[in-house]
Amino acid sequence: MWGMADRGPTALDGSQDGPPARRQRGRGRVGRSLFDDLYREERDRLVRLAFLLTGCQAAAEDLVQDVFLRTRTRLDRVDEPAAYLHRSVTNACWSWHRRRRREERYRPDRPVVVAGTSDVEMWDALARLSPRRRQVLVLRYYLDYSEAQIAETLGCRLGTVKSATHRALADLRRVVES
Amino acid sequence: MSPAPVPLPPDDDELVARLRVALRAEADAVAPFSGRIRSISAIHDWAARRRAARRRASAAVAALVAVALVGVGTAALSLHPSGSTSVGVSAPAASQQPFRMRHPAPAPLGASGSSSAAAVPAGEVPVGFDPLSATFVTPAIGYVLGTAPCGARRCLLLASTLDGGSTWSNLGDPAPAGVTLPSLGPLPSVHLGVRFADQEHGWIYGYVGNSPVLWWTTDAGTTWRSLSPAALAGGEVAALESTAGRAEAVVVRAEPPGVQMVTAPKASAAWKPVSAVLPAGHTAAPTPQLVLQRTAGWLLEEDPAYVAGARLDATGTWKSWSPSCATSAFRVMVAAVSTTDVVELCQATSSNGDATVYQSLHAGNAGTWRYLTQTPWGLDPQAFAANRGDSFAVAGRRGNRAEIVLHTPGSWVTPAWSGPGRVTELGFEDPGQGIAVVRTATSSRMLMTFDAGYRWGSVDFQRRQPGR
Repeated sequence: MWGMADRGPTALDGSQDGPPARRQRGRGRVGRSLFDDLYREERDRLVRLAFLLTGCQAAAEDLVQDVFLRTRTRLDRVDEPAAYLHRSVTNACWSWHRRRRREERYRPDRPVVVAGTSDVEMWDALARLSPRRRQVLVLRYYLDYSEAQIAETLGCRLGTVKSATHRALADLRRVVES
Repeated sequence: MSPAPVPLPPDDDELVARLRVALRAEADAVAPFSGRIRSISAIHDWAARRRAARRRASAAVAALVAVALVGVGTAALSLHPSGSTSVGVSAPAASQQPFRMRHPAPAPLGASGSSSAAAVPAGEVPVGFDPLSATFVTPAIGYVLGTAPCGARRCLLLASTLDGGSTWSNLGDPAPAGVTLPSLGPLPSVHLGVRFADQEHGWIYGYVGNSPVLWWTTDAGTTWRSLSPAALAGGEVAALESTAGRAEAVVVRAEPPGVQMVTAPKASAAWKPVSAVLPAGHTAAPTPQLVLQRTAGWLLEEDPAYVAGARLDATGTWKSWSPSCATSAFRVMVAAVSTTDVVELCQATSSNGDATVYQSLHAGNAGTWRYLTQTPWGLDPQAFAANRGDSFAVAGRRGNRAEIVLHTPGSWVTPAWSGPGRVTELGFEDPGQGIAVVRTATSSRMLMTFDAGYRWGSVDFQRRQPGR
């Protein structure tokens, strides 16, 4: 059960047309046309989310494409396909970080990707956070998820989310101030 | 109702506001559609082809069941003392008992060998599948060509994954309709490779017995066409790789003797020879190595007394090129690090093990090589693949076992994997994910790594893998 019925992610372009997760799609109704709708509506949002979670646009695009391929036949079995896609992309980004963790241990200078922000310092600080803390901050302050929603998305306890948020902000502050 | 957000301490308000602005600025800076994401129709096309393959497989299974039932019915009729047609209810009786053919035995192949597309129906990968060659087009999407039991023989079979090797599905026998292959005997007699340019376009190349093979698909492996382009001129495709939307292949010809590069766009069957023609060595079967890295490439032709090379530059032209140890005293293997640099592994032919690894600095400029390391003592290298500039894997033999070792800056991880057989393919799809194919005299297996080559595990094509 994808419990985001009362509050879904805010539209990423700042519009107030309602979070996609709130649109009710009954079971078994995600046919080809609805899949097309989902793809068109969610693809760019998901790429942006994946980019914020990975820091790499190429990886973000590959991950989103893979998620669409993998979940295509499953979307008609979930109540809220958009929320399901968000969660799938978040998990795919986590797996992406996990696969690179060992490699990055041997890379002294982790690359920091700056896509065009004016706040290089903040982006740099975000890039230096652990993947889990970065996930928490992106979900909390980009998608405006509640802590309960983050806990459900990441499959952890509410207390874990609270402490991770607190520590992530502390890390962020430390890096920015240094 | 979702709980209200926990209020932040006042001194974090400014930080959070700044974080929100930075996140939105970064997200807005992402190009909405850079072309890496394929169109939605590509997903639907893929799904439609999968459905069509399953329908064909179901039809094939139904045909086999019908043939089996007719056989049973005929036998029952012949055994019934009265010969009454009432015995013919054997078919309905059979239908009352669900007939589940999990891995149906395919119909026997033609007298001269294999070719039925229905020989190994699509669906699950059957037990006994022996991988021959593997390729990934993204970390998630990969194809494996192998052989599987079909009756008393073995048939070709193509398997694919959409989830990085966690689960595999059987796309059936790729042999084009009308193509007959010699009987697929012991594994060493089958020299076939598979490569894909993207999810849709791919090639199977090599030879079985004395029969050269070059097949081409444009629909993700659902259907294959046999190609006999004039550019091959009777030669055999000894190596094929794909990059930048086209395939580059090495054709070994016996008459006139030589090694010829041929190329074709991924969506075209129009293969054309390219200028680089390396003279034949002193044996009839040189062993070319072809390495492509985006727009660049390297080709090595090697036999016991001769080494020649060519390099594909950014203009798409093959030019003469030599590794640093291009003499008959060394065996050479190359692995691409980037579009400009390679690492080469030089092993003295008099050596029973270990080799020296050099790294090129701005490859193409003669003499710009630096010593990198020595391979672990006693390992006789057979395959070589780089996953970063300073990290690469070497597969070889140590005694009667195969071994994969990993070089990381300053140290060797040895062995990263060890087992019986011989590593015939080794490569990395990205810095973290790699594949290897290991063959013994009677079977083969595929290994994958998801941690940049530190650990390798066998792929079980019938069960879900732990995942990436």
